[in-house]
Amino acid sequence: MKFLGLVVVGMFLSVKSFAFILMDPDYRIGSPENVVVNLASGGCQAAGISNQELLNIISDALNNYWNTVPESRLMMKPGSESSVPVTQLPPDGQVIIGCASLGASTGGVTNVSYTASGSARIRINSDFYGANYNYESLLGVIVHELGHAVGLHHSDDGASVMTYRASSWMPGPSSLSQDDMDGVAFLYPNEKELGGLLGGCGLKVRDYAHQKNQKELTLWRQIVESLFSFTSVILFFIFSIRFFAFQARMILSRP
Amino acid sequence: MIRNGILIFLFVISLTKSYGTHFSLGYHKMDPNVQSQDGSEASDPYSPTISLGHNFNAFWGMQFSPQIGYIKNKVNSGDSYGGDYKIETYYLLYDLLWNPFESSVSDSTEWVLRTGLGTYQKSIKGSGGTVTVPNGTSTTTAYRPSGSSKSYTTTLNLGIDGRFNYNSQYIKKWGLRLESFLYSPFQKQKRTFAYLITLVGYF
Repeated sequence: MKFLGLVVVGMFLSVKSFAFILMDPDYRIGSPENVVVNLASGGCQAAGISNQELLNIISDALNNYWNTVPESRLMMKPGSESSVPVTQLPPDGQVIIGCASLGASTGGVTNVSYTASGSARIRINSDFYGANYNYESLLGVIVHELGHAVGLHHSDDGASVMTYRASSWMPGPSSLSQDDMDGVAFLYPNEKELGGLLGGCGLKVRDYAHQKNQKELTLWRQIVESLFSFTSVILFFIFSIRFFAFQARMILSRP
Repeated sequence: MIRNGILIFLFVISLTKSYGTHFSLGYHKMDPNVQSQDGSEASDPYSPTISLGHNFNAFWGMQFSPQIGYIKNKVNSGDSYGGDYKIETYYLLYDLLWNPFESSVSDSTEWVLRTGLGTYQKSIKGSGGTVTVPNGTSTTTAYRPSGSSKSYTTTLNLGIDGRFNYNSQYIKKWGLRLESFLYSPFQKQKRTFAYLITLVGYF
């Protein structure tokens, strides 16, 4: 028993810290379950990127990165070209993305409204990104700037999409890092349902358009997920039916 | 409050209709789907977990097995800011158990399938404060998370228990539990697997 006690203590002792940093303690994007990411008036057409191209990249940045955190209710969807110029902040709960000449030092800049129900504007540097843009590079910049839009600041963790360092995964991230996911879970946690007994099941959130741009699941993963879900649901229903049938029989058999 | 009330209720009932209180110790691991520093898929670290539960005799050899558990999350990070952060997870599992072999494989061994629902409550706590971070060609003030944030996630569970006789003063049986969890089963984009492997003692 003493040995077991030592093992338990040893297992729970070592802890590492993590790195996500916030833009502001009180800033949150408005309506986090339904954030719309629109194009600023004119989008990046002046730089040679069509609205559809830009919306497709935004859709990838949302569906393959920021919308994938299971412990967070954050869900963003791509919108369309708005009438808001890139020099202004959009209404609460919205993000706009456009292009502007920003010089040689940055790929993009994000400004947020610093309120508890905020909005954000993202300016992509048209000095870097024009008609011959590199998809991975532009995707990396948009993923990073969207991280600012939801409230994350620069991370010191080289694996994070919010890092300020030059990392070997650049220009295009393969997925969020653990720090990024923890940051989004901290800022936009799933709300409890039924007093916490059923967790946050996410039924209120729908899948959005541009599904074709979602990350393609590998075949084995689709098969495993399907088999898992099917088996679990079937077994659960069998157990439930047998349980209620048994209870009904017990009640009916009472004298 | 509701959760605490139901847990107390369940454990009071367990004292009157006892089949087996069990204590387990093991590791929990999320499906590797995060980026490492070189851009490859990083494996989530194994986080230690303990749990306490009870198996109720239900019907036709089936059992209902509620559990409450705790995970000390370990996080891989290349952080040099330092800081006092803490991530931990509490979970509630509502599993139904079924012995598909109807009887033991042998007198001393039995294998049991388990399935059900679960609730994970992940808590992230930070002590707050400011840091100076690089921003473009200059630096700016940014903020560490302050306070506590709790996120609740529903899981769909599927697993198997192996139980083996063990006669000692404290433990009637011991076992090995392998269980997998599908996080956010109703949201395609957020769906994620997690796994649990534990040693179980039945009292």
